[in-house]
Amino acid sequence: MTIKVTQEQALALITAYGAEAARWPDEQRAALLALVAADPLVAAAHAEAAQLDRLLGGWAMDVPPRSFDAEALIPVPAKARAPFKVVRWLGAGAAAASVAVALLLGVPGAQTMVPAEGVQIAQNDISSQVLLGSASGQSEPLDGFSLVFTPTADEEDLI
Amino acid sequence: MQPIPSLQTPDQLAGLMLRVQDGDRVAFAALVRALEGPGLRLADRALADRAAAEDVVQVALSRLWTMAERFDASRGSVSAWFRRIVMNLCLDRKRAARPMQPLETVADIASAAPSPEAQAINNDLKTRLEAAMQMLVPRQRAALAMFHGEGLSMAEIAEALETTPKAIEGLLGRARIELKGLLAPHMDFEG
Repeated sequence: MTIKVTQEQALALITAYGAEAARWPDEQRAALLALVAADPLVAAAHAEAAQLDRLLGGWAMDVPPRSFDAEALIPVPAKARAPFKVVRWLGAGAAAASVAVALLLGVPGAQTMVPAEGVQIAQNDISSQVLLGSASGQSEPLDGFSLVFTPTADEEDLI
Repeated sequence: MQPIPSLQTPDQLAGLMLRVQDGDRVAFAALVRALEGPGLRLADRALADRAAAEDVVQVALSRLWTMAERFDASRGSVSAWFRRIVMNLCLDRKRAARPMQPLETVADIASAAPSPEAQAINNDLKTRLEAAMQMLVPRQRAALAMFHGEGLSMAEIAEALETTPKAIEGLLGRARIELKGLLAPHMDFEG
């Protein structure tokens, strides 16, 4: 179907689409070609557009090519990264286990700390109580209370 | 200018893309060969910056692999999908940037043309055109490159730039008017 085209529309179409009739909208091509032949203003615009088309065609294609390495474009697959993750988690687990063992065994050197002479220190170190009985050095049978709280001499007086 | 014929038909590209979705590296290499040229021309012309264009195309080609599962043949061609990826990357890159050359530069560029007159005029015009192109926005340059270089229709350009064919008509029209104004003193435009 051919649509009638005014001079103004013809100029707008040529400005947007250029001078090549094959690129014009199908339904307006015939009317546009007729105007180019009949209207000097449209004919001049068409000639100008042809010049600009040639310039733009050259500009658009004047880009040096480059070949991309397809293999290098592929990122390292997730599967290949998995062992690294496992190693990382194992490392973190080992570090956590080391800290836990260190806590269970106590801080190195803590057992060797000796209080100043004549000073009694209340203790709540269950492991040491089990081994040593009480801070007073008496070999009383261990009971629940002594495991939780071993009073000093002054505290013994209050009890 | 006649558009460069595509190395692969749309159906062949879609077939390659399906194989890429299954992790086929050979198909991916073929897809890269088919799309790198048009992708680089589009990015280079839109950005007016060769190094940036190469970066953009590298990322876009890589996305063909990493985002392969997102491609849906029922929604469009591989080429159209790729152009859209390239354009989005270009526009992301250019969003904050503005043209650097003042308008006067377009008219004041000294010609470095050799002695034969025709060659001299041609080179001079080419240099002036490059400078004039810097005055356009990336979307206008991209539309001109797709229309005049790749021979795409208004509808195909509209798809790449995520707009309507009518808007592309306006975009191209304004770009050509602007170029004509900038180049008029150096071209033998009639009328």
